[in-house]
Amino acid sequence: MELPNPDPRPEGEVRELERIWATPRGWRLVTAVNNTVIGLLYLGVAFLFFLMAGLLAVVMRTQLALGDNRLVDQDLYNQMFTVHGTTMMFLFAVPAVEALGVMLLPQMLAARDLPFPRLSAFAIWAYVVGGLVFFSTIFYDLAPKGGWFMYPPLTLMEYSPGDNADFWLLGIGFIEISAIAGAVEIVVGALRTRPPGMSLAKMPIFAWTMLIFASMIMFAFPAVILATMMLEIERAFGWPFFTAALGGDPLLWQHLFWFFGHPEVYIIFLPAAGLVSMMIPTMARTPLVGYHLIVVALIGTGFFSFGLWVHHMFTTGIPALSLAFFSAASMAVAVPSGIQVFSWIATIAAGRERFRITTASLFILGFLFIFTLGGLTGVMVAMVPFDYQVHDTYFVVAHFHYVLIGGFVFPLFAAIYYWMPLFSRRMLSERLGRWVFWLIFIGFNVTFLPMHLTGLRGMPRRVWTYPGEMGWDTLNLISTVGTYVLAAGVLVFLVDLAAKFRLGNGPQENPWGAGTLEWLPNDVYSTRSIPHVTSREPLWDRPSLPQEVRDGHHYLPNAPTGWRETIVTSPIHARPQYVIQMPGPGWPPFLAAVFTAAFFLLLTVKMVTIATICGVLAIAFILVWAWGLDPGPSKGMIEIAKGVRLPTYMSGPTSHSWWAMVVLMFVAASLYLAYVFSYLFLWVVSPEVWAPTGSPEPPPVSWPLGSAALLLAGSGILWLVGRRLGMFSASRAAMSVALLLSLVCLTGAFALELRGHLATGLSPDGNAYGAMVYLGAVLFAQLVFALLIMGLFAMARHLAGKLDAVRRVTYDSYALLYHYTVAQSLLGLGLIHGFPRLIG
Amino acid sequence: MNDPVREPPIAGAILFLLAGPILWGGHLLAVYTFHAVACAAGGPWATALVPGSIVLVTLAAAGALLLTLSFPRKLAQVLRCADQPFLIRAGRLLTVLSLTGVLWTGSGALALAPCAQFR
Repeated sequence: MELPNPDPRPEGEVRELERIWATPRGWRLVTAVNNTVIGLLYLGVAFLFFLMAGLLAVVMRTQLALGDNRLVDQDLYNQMFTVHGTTMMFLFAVPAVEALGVMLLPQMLAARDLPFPRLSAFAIWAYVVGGLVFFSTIFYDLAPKGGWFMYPPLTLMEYSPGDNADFWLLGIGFIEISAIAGAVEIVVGALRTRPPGMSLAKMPIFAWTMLIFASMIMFAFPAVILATMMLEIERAFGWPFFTAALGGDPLLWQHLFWFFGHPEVYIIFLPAAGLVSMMIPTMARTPLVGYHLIVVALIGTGFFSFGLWVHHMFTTGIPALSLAFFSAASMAVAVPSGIQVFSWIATIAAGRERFRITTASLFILGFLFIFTLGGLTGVMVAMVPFDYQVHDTYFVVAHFHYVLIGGFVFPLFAAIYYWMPLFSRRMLSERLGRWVFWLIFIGFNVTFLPMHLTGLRGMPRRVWTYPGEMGWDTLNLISTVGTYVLAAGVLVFLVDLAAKFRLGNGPQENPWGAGTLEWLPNDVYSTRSIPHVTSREPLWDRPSLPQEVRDGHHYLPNAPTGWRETIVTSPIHARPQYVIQMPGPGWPPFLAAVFTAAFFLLLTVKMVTIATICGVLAIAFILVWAWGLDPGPSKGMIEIAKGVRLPTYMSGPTSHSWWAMVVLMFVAASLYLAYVFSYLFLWVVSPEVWAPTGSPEPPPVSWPLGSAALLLAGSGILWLVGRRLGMFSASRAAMSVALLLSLVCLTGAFALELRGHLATGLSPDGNAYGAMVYLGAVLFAQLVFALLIMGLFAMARHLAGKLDAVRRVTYDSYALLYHYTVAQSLLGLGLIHGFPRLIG
Repeated sequence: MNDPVREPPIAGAILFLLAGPILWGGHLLAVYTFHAVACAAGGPWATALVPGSIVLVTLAAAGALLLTLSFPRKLAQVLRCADQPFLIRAGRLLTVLSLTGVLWTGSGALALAPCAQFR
């Protein structure tokens, strides 16, 4: 292969890269946006939550060690298991995966950074502030008590008064938004910042898993966001979505929650499987056996996991045939998971030399053993009759801990030991590592294996104590002893970490002899030059690659725009398309995150005025942040390799901002489809409260028609402006009038829709039908609010001379979301106004 | 600015790759929704109609999957890229998995009473 930049590079390029990519020091560290800094902080905080939630588990196990124990009281115990589960799922597992994505993905793709570094910074700080406040509620008796899945009616205001449940609903809802922000970054990053030549078929398995992980977040999280919105609205304003007496149904919560909750398991597991698929070939010193099969298994698992949610609801009275559909899907999902396990075993067996046993390998082998057992009990509980027997018993607790700890925590420990040399000047101790592994492995099995029996003997989950004569004492005592052994293993790990971890690059560049790009020579700017990739294990197939990259013989060995930059490539072939200029450190993402967190948390404790001020400040900082984006084409074309020149600016469907907006539209569409499902579900459950018989008839058809006409007019205006942006942007008045007109159409359409329903006398708190109709208006209002800000922002940029026919990303983003809003609203008008007429 | 490098649309590649799982998802949604609504509405017609309809929808979905399996190369012509063999192989395997899922799901209708509960 001919080198992209064969000539010697001029001096000073590396110093320039170091200057541009320097990490802020001291208290300005919070303004850092570099993926290695942000990723480490993200992972560190996630691990802190793991430790804190783990401590809660130790206390709970101590309480359960003997029957009739009184170490903690019932109320505190309820708070503890709720916070333990919520923290492990929302504050540890998903953030830890995102952290690994932010840390490792750019390194594996040899990108200088992910395309939206400030978005990553926003996501992490929002998560840190929101997460810490949420967790701290356990210390002042404000923690939620409804279990990590917060089922109504237990969590309705009637049965859970006070602010405890609201902390879960607003706190976690907000952290989910942070997860979605991370997902946008990862989808666009994995598809658009791969190095030249790294086509889809050469993408590292971890990148595949992160792509699938982020896509699953896009479609799964909106369902639970909608559910939390509905439950919070019912608690705060009495709209009866879940109150059976008024046409609601608590089972709707279960459907929405588990439509998120089951894929969540795979959202956690698939990236961990990706990590394992990266480590096993290195330790076996052979390429992964069945790369294609693993990709297929990952996609299949990700997809099928959305068809399993009802298997958490087998005992809710759903007809047997429907249960059979989901039982079949639950068993079918074991097939792609099995493909991965066999592929790993085959890779270990196919190694040219004996599988190298390191601490990381031990954790991988532990993962294989434990996860397979968890998978087997998973198939058992997928069978309806068996599930009836063990539902809500400790058997289920044992099963999901085998899946989640085996499927995620073990690979995470393996990953920490394996990739530590990328981030620490000293490697972790292999001797202590073996102690860590065996203590955790033995402790885990001693804790959770007996729980299968405890469950089969009938001990229910979530009980704070049990009578001594039930015959559960011995098994519980063994489990508690195991917990302390497991905790000792984690403690030894912390000691090792404290002794050895020192931020910086490791003593050896590639201590394990791996074949993937993250082991290229690295610095704050990632690799000196971005390599041309021709295989899946480029470091094995081209041993000279590290030196070539270090000497700047590949792409973009310098910083020609004087900004932070990386190459954007095409999504399938990874052909270079343009160079993205990325923002550096700054306060706006940090402050926006802090004030967004404050907005949600203050709202929880009903401090509405201060919350509103914080909300306004958050928006203001987001606008300040956005103002610095869209730098325009002023830097022209630059040379990234000999004879290869690329533009430094891109708009339209090729640009990364367009992609991010499309991803966001998918998220919005998922949320809206969850709403459509909820509307139809409640109609199936309680048709008697539906219009036209059980509620006021919908407004005359002229109202929705007027609304639709305004929406189409607004969309038409923006389409016309988009086609003739040069002409419109040449005139300040024409552009401003067009943008204002589009906003007037939008707000007019919304006002008509709302006014029409108010005029019929329909009330949102009268019954579930009214609640669903007005929830539709709430979802419409959210988009109108976002578009008002975006439209006025686009107008301001145009007036400031920062928006024209070429520099048009702000306009394109506004127009895209506007057209999407029109499409969603037309569907909504059809549903809200058409459906009652159809059934009437 | 115009895209300097043209390649097959990513949406086409994704659709090609996911045709099988999308059909599987559509089938599950169709049979579950139909079954839930029919049983909620009640009446003797539900009992009579449910098993046959589910078998019919299952056969239709299986037919569509087999069709996807038979013509991947022709469909993949629209992609015309270096990753075409990879996409074809992966798409095919996903379709086979989906076919298994569809048949497995639909077969319940042959064995179980339409609207009865297990207990």
